[in-house]
Amino acid sequence: MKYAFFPGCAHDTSAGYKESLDAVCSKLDIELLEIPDWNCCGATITAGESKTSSLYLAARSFALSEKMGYTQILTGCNACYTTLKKSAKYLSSDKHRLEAANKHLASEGLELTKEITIQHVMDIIFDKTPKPIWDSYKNNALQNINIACYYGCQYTRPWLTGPQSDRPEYIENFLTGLGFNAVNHSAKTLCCGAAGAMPNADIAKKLVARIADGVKKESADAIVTICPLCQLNVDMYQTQPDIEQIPTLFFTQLLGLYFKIDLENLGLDKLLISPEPLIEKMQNLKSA
Amino acid sequence: MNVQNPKIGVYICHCGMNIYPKVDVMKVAEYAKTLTHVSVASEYKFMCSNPGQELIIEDIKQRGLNRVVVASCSPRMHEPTFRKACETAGLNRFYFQMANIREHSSWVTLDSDMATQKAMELVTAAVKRVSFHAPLYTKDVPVQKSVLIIGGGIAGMQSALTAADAGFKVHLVERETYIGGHMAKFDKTFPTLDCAACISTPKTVSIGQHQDITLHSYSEVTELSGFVGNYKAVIRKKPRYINEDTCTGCGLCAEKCPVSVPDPFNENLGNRKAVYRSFPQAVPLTFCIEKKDPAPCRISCPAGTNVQGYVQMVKTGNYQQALNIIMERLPLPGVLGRVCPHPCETDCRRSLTDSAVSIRDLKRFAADNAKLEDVPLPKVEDRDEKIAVIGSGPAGLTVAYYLRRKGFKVSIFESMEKPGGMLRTGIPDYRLPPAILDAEIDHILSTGIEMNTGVGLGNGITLAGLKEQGFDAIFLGIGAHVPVKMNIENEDADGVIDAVPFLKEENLERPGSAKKRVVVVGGGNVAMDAARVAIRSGAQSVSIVYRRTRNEMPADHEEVEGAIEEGIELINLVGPKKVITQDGKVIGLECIKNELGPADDSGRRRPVPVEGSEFIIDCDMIIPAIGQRVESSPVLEDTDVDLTAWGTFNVDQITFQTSVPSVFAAGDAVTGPATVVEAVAGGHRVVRAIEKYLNNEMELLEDEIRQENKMAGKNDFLPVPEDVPVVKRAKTSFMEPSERKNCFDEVDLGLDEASAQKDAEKCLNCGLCCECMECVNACEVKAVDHEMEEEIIEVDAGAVILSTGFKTFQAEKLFQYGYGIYPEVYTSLEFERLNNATGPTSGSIQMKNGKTPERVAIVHCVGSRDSRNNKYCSRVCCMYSMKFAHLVREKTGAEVWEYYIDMRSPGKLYEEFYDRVQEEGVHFVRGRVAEITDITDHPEDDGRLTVVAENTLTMKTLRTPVDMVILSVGLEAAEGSEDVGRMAGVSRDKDGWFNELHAKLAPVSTPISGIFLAGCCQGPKDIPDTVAQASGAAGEAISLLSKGTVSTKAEISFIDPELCAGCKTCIEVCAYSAIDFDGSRDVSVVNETLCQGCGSCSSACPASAAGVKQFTDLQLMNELEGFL
Repeated sequence: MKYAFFPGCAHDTSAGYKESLDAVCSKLDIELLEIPDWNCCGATITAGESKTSSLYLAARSFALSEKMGYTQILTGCNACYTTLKKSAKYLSSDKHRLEAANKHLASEGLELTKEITIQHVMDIIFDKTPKPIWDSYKNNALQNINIACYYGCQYTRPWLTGPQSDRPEYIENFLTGLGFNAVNHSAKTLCCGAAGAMPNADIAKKLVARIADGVKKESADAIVTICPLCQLNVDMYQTQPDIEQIPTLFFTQLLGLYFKIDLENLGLDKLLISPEPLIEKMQNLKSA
Repeated sequence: MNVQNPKIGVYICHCGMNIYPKVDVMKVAEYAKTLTHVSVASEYKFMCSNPGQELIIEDIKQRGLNRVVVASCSPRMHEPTFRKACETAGLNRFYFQMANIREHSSWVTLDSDMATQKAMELVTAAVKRVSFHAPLYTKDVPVQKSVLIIGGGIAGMQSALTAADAGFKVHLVERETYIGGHMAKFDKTFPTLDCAACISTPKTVSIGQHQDITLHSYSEVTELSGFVGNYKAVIRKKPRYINEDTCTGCGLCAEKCPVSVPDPFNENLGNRKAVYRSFPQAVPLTFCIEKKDPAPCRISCPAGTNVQGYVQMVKTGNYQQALNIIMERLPLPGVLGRVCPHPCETDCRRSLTDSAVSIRDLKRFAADNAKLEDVPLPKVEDRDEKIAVIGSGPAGLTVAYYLRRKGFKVSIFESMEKPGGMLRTGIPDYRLPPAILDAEIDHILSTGIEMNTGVGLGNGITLAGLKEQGFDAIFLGIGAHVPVKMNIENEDADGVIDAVPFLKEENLERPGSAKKRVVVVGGGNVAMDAARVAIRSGAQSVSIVYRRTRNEMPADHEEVEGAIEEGIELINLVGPKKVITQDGKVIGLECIKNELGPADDSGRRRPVPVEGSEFIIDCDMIIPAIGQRVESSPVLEDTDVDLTAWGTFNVDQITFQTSVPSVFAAGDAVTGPATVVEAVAGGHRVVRAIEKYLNNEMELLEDEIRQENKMAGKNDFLPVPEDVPVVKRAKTSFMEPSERKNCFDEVDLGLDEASAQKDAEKCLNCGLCCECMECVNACEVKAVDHEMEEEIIEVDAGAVILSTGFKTFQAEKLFQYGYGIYPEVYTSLEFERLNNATGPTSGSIQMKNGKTPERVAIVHCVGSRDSRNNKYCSRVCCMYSMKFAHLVREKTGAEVWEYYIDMRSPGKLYEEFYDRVQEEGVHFVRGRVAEITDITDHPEDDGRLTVVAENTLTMKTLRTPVDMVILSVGLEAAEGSEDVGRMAGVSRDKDGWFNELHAKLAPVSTPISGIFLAGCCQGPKDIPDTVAQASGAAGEAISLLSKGTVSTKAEISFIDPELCAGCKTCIEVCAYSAIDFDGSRDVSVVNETLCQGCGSCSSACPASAAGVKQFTDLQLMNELEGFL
């Protein structure tokens, strides 16, 4: 299957997200078509400065996607996910906003006419791929691998309500289906401090500390993230002295290990906390 | 109708400033004067006042008015006032009509002109209508001098005592086993901190002792009919299984009860037994047994064995009682404990969490560790009827044993030299040692059964002969012993011996007849037995040939495993084609390979031979084990008994009678080859049928069975707890394969005591009460009655008081507070129990780990004052939260943090209590708690909970580490109040509370005359308010009933006999059964005492014969005309 893909500014430079996503997608027959000449999603600072300019930024990428024939856009970053999803909602529900955005786009000869939907690339990988491929790698011994899933603050909120917004179980259910042991913890949707990491490092540090503390309680072999900002913050925080270190991977890197994809194709060497203990544990599993 | 000369007076009310000046009342009055038939129109400041009423009275008297219209407020307020004024002046009260120009006019618009305009229209309509009014009359009817009270909390109790002390009979209905409601769970009460038990037990005791109060505990009102003064209620009294009159409340039953379940009275913080009393001071003091549907294991046992019961008895080490329970349904416990295919284990709900209880092994353990001779026999009178049982297999032994237990004379006829049938000849000794079988048969016979061996049909007896000998009934349990042939070439060659005779010979004489190389054909248990016996009796190699794969083999998994362990080879997907012989002796078996094709009728895939795949297995002995059939010819010799196409006896599925009424049959002879337990099950059905047959009650049988089928399958079981630990299934030890394959000693060595008890502990007690009857044995006054059934009681009552109380908000809904996730987050009711002397910790405030908390947070408004949940204030939470704070400070010295939105402490001594708690050093934080998490900011707080909240007075976010959190959950209308409301016809507001008639004028009345409200069912309130309101409700009821009569309604239906066609449609639609049929005139007639004037008959009547007085077509059409 082919999908339009919005990488976002952190995708290429993150610690192996791009490599591992590409590897897993090729395994699953997913083709990600980068939207040509995409621009900043409009997250954080831009949205804080001016709501409308954030909207126009998103609208431009949407129009580019529409031009290439896709109204569904995938992204792998939570900030992009939420910003784009919000923008898509505003543009499709408010004619005046759409007209204003199109006025700006007209100078480039672009126009947004269709309703755009945004999906996290994880949703497609989990829900839209053939089960037999997954099943052929299933191994009961994986239940000895303890995974703490960390969603970040923007994947579930404001899109899910009720307990699923604070204590989601979506990734857990999927990984458990593969055989992993997903540990329960209270830090699944805490803020990683991403937006504040530069201007308010102290506050950001405190926020990440809570995530590390929440996960640590459950003694996980790895933390799995779905966002380049989350991964960076949680990984980096643990490099401080006297902190128990848990490898912090992108979910695609864990899936790469599951599929036994060559390690050099997963960018694992870019992680700050070495994933060696996890890799070793996974390689030494006795199949049951 | 007096329409000729209406003289109408119209009176416009100012209602102080409510109607005037919005409505120009002078203008309306002037306008009214211009209307036809109006002889006087005036306005006045308060028409409802005495001078206002005098106006009307004077005008009627002086000016001869015969109709009156008052334009003022809602008729709900003052219609009775003005009607009474008319009556005082000598005018029939129904010559009056009211126009509502307040709610319908002045209050609902800002536009004065429009208000005046509408007021004029309303007056016109009323004037037009009132011309067509007719005089109506009420009747006085006597009332029942009794009060029905639904709900036995403090409100219900207070109302009951008030009404009963005034001399009225009271029926107090409470659905729980005790009265006292939520207050019974409390330890202290605010603001005076008096002990809840000390102030409520005198009340509960008085209720129990009051001669005029009938307490219906553990009961629910299911129907309420009738009308004010004469209500009728149907009460469903649930069975306690313990007699209220004789139970002394000693509690010996609970001591003996093996079943422990979470105790809802303790908010599931502790456990109680299946037989229980919620707390020591409970009224009534009677214990209660809680039962769910029979456990799945018991249902799935073909013989209906009380599995849960004997498993519990093994758990508690009472092996004799375990055996007693088994023997109620299984006459051969040691046999079934070894060979039963245990369908019970398949259905065991424990397998939802880890693995099924090892039920069969537990049965064997009980049988091996208790004495058959100590199994009690029921004391029955011997009976004269004689029954002949032919065949002593499991079916025959069951029929004989249980008929004997019922007192009948039983003789068994067995054609072999030793009894046991297939148990002896078919099941190898290494699975079922003969000593076990002998002992159990001896025990059965020891109850007084005559055994004749070496005698069978065609071998000394005939059916006709038995009848001549005076046997009243005959049971055919002759089994299925004749082998089914393979139908292949050379099947009769020397060396081919069928499994049934092979096993019989080996079991009885053990000649060691197996040859060197043996091939067994078949995949069932008999094939496994034959193969495993062959290897024990000298075969060098044994192969099993089966036409499908191992997955489809009907043999038990453990038997196949055992065979493989003993070196037996499985050859799957192969069918026999021809026996190869040399000199008439077997030298091989020609086989053909199969593939699996589409599924056949049995759901298994059909084997399809692969052409050209024939091959030969060298062997010198072939044992076919592909089935058995019934040998029926000796029976048929002298009696014509119907057979099925399969050659089995054709019996009635309910009576188990053959085509000869006195001859019954069951077991393999009816079902074809099946299991031991199925034969026992068939035996039981025959026992019941023969008893009914001999009692001449055969016709009852079908009803009885239909009744049983109706009961089964509701699947209301005790829920599986969420925190069940994973416990490995107990496994019996086995003799080593190398050792066991050379002898016939028992392979399975059974469970040891420790693992048996541990495994029995895994039982989830699906049926709750396990019916082990230990309570029956423990009770000295014989109060326990497991056969008790629910009772339906009908009572009459003049008035009804609803006092159904409240339930607390479900704290799980506010997931951010972590209730149900973090063990140290409690609801307020849980804390009440934790703090209560009769609670799970005997009143010590402690955490689940037993430690005393050092810091406790109390969160107000959980589920209350919350637009996403309940908008209203629950009124009691601020006060009880402060009570908690005080108790925690007093008992533990812990720091207490209260998080509140606003402090609400209006009430006598309440504000003073607030001051006191502040002085005790409790921290008060104004702010709604955002979340409660186990994530802490400092390592030294690990293991604690963090309460995150904004202090809105200091504008700071607080993260406070605490050991324990109490959620002050709000109040909601009680579970089931919707049903009670529907039944009583009392509406509920948007939050589910019952609507009072008027918040200020009639706060304890409902729109339904004679039904009153007391306590929290009307809205959240504390104990003082509840008790006050309950006294008020009782007072209203007393005031209603003291007079002895009530007036019937005048605005009721009438049926014009001239128009009535006698179709009876009205009778069908009448909800009050108020219409009778007069057969002599062929018309329907309204019963004026019962009719409530609802109008259903009027709208349903096809002939327009039915109508409602005061709502006639003429009146309504004229009123409408006034508007137009």
